[in-house]
Amino acid sequence: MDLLHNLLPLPSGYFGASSVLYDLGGLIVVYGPAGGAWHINIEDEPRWYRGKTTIVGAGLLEMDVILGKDPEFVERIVSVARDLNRNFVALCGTPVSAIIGVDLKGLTQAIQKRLNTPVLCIKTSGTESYLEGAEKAALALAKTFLEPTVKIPRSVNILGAIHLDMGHPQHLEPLLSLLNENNWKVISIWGGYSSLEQIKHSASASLNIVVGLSGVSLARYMYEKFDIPYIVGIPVGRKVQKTYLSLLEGIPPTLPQTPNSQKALVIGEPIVSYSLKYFLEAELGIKTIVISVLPYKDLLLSPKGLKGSFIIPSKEDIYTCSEPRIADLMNKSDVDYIIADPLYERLLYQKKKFIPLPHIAMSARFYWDMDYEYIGPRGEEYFKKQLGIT
Amino acid sequence: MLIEKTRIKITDLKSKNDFPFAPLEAVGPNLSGWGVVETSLLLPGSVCLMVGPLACLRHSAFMAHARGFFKRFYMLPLEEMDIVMGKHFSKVEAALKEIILKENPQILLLAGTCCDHILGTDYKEVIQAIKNEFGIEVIYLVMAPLTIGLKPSPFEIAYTALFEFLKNKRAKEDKKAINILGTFLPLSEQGELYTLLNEAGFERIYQIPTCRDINDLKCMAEASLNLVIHPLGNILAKKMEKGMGIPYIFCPLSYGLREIDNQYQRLEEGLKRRLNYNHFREAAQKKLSVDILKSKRVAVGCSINGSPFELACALKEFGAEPKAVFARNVPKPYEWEYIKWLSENSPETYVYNVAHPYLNEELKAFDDIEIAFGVDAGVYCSKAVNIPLSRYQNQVFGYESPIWLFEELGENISQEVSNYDWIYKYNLLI
Repeated sequence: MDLLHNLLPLPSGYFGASSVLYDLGGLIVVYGPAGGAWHINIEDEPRWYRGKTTIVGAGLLEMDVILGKDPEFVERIVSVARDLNRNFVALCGTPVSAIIGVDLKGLTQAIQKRLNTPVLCIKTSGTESYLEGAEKAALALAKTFLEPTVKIPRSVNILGAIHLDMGHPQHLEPLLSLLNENNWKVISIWGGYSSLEQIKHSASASLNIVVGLSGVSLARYMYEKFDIPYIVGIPVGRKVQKTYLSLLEGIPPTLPQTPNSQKALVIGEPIVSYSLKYFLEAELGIKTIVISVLPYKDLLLSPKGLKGSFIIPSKEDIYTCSEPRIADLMNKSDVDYIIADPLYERLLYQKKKFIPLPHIAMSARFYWDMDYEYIGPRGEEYFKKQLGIT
Repeated sequence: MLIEKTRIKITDLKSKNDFPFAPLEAVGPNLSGWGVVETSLLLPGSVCLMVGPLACLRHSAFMAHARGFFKRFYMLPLEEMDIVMGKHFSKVEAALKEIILKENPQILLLAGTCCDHILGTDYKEVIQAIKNEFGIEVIYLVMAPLTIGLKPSPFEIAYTALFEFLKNKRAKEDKKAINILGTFLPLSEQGELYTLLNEAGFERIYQIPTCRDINDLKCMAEASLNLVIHPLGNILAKKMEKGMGIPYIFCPLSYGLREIDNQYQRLEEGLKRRLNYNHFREAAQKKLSVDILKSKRVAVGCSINGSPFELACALKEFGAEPKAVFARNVPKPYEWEYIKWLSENSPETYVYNVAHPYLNEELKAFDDIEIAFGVDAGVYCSKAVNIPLSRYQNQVFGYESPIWLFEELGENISQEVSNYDWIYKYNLLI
């Protein structure tokens, strides 16, 4: 792996798990030394601020690791879980637990035997990306809490809406308004914004909308288990909203119009990036290349259950999170615009228009409160203003 | 009530075993020190490479960006299998070489993580190879929260690295040189302590953050005395006393006039010279508008620069009512005298374990607090005016400290900055 210098390393697995589970009234235990949970709270999880205790660290010390005091920690977790009376307990692994080979599943079972509330085992190691942890947490949640039920026509779940990819909850509002105005009922939003009770009703939806890569594996699981088909993408711009509504009805999007001479490079989470690419090409005629910082080859498959997608790849699109590689592509490609998290601007030394689109997984909370939009008419307004289009 | 498990009345806090035990680590807004990497990067001309899992790197990287030292901070993410199987040595060596060629540093810091600590990773060969090829100082340190509260702690390990650098550099003793240890932002060279030390005959006063280059840093090895103003500096001072024969005096930054008098008397005893500090005291007293604190219900957190217990004593003496002290670890040895004084003079004060998972559950308990000192205290005391007194804002000593305290009070009461902004806009809590 290449050196990182100007960019932050992407969050690891347990950050992703926490992003999925945070709003659901559980107790998330990061099984590692002091600081593991704290990093999430203060750097990546603004929902922490003056909220109830949600993420805690085991606070392992050297001798705990050497002597293997797992039973003592089981007692402590059980005791805190009982006192706090949360909806569930989730146990996440860290680099320390991975290296010393802690049996997370065994610990989970030991805790479960003592508690009436469900205990989820999220096998993370702290060396994988947040995507993996978010996928594991969402699947663990689904396997624990979802039951087959009667379908509600014209109802949807929104999957993969973790704050690390989507940012502040307000950014999702244009999508919720669009669905509401067109008589689509939103059952649940996975990744935040919904309570556990709402999540539990997810199997009643007639369609899943995947807005973030971490929702893809969950969508497939829900198709196999509950026969819920899914679409992939986010509507950016007014006209694209019509296409999006057709997509919800199962009509695949048409190919974008012939591009003009302008080019853009979008760097970030793949579903957000490809949805933006669709807008830029279809509505503005700007040829767009995507650099996905997460591996997205699963998005290119057409598995059963997928009703339609805004993912229209081109051969220039790539997956990489290598800082030197991204710097090269930013400076050496003949693009006019670069749309990416503000931290990437540090890599730019050629004269190109840089348009900030914060990605919390890159810049943590630094741009959480920044004034930007990327969905629906608000997104169109923001990008047109940045592009200088009236 | 759950909150009872998070706290103890000051009058019942007699020994470290009385301090409320946190079964799991919750918010813990402050690890009571500076970041290990950040501390090490105080060394002039230094560049750091940190190697380890993504999870560990992200925290230090965040701090590097928030504090603006990312230009001197590199990271090499490692896979779990590489670390366990020891396959990463060649990658680390190649990365160090790449950084040297790009940055030409005077000192190169290689930082490991808990994983290296557990596995006992030995980078000696890699470091020696780099030293041989490039002839520069390479210091190994480890950011291992696994060792918090233990010996050696993460900071002890970091300071050991500094000591290793200094220990062979003492060619002679410079009677007119003194080191001030424990500063993160530097003390002003025009300030009170510099004036007094100059008057006492010290012509060369060194602080790590004011060293311009590696040669300045080397001069610290020749000082005749170490003056420690933050307990973190004691680690290095003790090592320098034992290994290099340089004595030290511990005079921690304090806010109470009585305690500052004590510090200066201790300093006079150590220096065996009188210090002319009375005019600073008199000038300070004129500037302290103590009415602003009269009968105010206050809380003190552990993220302040100084001891929260000492500040609580000072606030009581200035007329306030300290209701809560937030501490993260058991009190340090020198803090027990403050606890004793508070027991006798402010028996209604409670001490909370800031890392306790139940503390967030009943924040209403702090709704009557009017002023909260420390960003961590401000998180809990949502109705209070929040005065950070952060070590990232300023470094003061002697009677400058109460002056700073009252200046901050006046400024923040008239033009309040929210606790949210102190954390999210000014990055005072990391």
